[in-house]
Amino acid sequence: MRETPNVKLSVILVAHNMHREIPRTLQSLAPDYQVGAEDMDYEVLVVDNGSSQRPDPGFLDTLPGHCRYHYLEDPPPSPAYALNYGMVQSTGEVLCLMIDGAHLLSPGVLSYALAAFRAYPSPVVMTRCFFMGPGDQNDTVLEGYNQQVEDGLMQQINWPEDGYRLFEVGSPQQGHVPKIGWFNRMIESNCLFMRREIFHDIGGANERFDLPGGGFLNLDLYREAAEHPATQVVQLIGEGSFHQFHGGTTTNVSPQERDAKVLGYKAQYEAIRCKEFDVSPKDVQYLGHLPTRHSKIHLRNRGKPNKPIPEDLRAAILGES
Amino acid sequence: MTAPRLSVVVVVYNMGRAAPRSLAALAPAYQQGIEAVDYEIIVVENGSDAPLSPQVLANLAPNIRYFHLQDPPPSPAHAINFGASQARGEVLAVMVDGAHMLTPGVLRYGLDLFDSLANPLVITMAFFLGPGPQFETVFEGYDEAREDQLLADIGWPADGYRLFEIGVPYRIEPGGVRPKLFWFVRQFESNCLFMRKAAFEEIGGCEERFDLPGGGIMLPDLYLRLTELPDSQIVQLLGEASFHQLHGGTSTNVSRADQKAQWQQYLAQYEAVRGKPYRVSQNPIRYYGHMPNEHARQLMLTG
Repeated sequence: MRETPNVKLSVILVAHNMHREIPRTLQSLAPDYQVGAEDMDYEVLVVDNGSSQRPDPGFLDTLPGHCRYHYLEDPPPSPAYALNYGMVQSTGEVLCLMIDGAHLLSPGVLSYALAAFRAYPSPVVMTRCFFMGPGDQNDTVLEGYNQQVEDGLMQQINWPEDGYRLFEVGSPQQGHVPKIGWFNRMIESNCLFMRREIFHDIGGANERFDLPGGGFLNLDLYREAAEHPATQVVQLIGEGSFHQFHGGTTTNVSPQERDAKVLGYKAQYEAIRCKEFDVSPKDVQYLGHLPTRHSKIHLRNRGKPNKPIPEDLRAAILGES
Repeated sequence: MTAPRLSVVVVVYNMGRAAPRSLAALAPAYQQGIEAVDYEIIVVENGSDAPLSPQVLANLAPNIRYFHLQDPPPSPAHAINFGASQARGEVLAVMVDGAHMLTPGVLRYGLDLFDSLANPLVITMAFFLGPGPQFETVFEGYDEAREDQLLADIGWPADGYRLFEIGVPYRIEPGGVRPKLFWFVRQFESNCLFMRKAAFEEIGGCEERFDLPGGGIMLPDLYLRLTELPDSQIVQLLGEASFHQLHGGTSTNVSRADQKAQWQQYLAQYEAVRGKPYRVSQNPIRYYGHMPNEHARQLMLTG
């Protein structure tokens, strides 16, 4: 018995000064890494959001046929324009939006996401976000976590031989949530899938989110898609995107600096949407598996000590409804 | 008239109290996201002394087909095979114990993945109604009157997901400890098991040589053989379940010691019939579903 064929998928990856990270990200999207790629029709578009150095032509020559690299000259600092640009250049019926190109994927992300598009009419698929290393990089960077440590971790798991070993060296993004399991409601995803027409209906990525890194752009993108009456929200179980250290705007600064920035992002969201940011109330559907022992993140007991959360941050940051 | 997509086969045996609720929980008025034309409920009365009355059945659901087997063998294997032979749907849901009440999304979620997977085998998780495993609570005073009261307390059937407030997971760890992290625990049978009818026929249906009352290891055997089909894919539902009502069942409402002895008997019969020891399938599991309320979600923490 044949399964329903997959729809065509376009992965849009925004990169900014990520010459170390992008090759690994692309490796994690390669057909010899993603499970079931032989049954998929997909393309990968890297939109380089005006990196200070253009990519090495030698590197561009190594890109496989399903990858295209677009360099934007002097673009706005927010990745919103880059996402919209990628959408225009892409041809897939389904879009996979990776607003931060430093995220590596586990090997089943594409196949499980596409399974959701066969099971539901118009899903908005969320991939859970992990940090490479022993905790949120906002914390671990203060303890010496850096690119060299990260390279060591990648060697330790012999990546990319078995991509699910990323769960051995990565940690679910926690923020102020005491403990993360697969059922915690997400408020954004760095590997977010939706049908092209949904992205179109919600007006694409809202370019008024013009702060470097985009501020709440990614949260807004998810929320708008989730609020679309035609969509179903699906969170993947046992798959993840893993953030490589790259000096990101909010991911690789101290917790205090991050929190201060988040307050600014929140204010901008309120100015643009004329309401406070809140978690989408739409029911969440779950789809996935538990490929390895380390993927059972609910068994990890590395809960952070419960520090009081500033009230005004609570609604914006808490992943649990 | 076009054939329904799904045929639910429910075996009942002297269940005048429990079966009407189980059937009401299968009815289109209760099940969400599915219409009466999408499925049929095949009720197989397995030689009961006190069969269900036609009036009761007529009022429960418009899509019930009722068959009364006279003098059948004691094992429900024959009853399921008979029910499956009557089924018009491409997908079968087998409910070997008609005392199980479903949550309102079981049929919809159970059917969902048949569009996208080659040969899914969908497991609905099982619970006991009441404050603990019924093989313990019946010795502590849990009875039908208390069960009726619990169901009245949650206003059943107004919100079927409130069953999670008054039940405990079926699977009990050694020493009677409730399982932690319940939803991801591997199952080896299900009291509401979905499969393609073609898959059921390919393996020859239920093994009628498992002839102990209640069927013994018949259901784990059926499940195991289905997992051994080359394109089989196990799916465990999240946030949906079946809840067992008291009815003096063969293995559920007896003491723990009796249950252990029974299980040994089941294993011995398995080995006699199959010529090898019983094992639990280790095939990969897919998870699919939702978390309808906080009580269902809490099972990840407390069991």
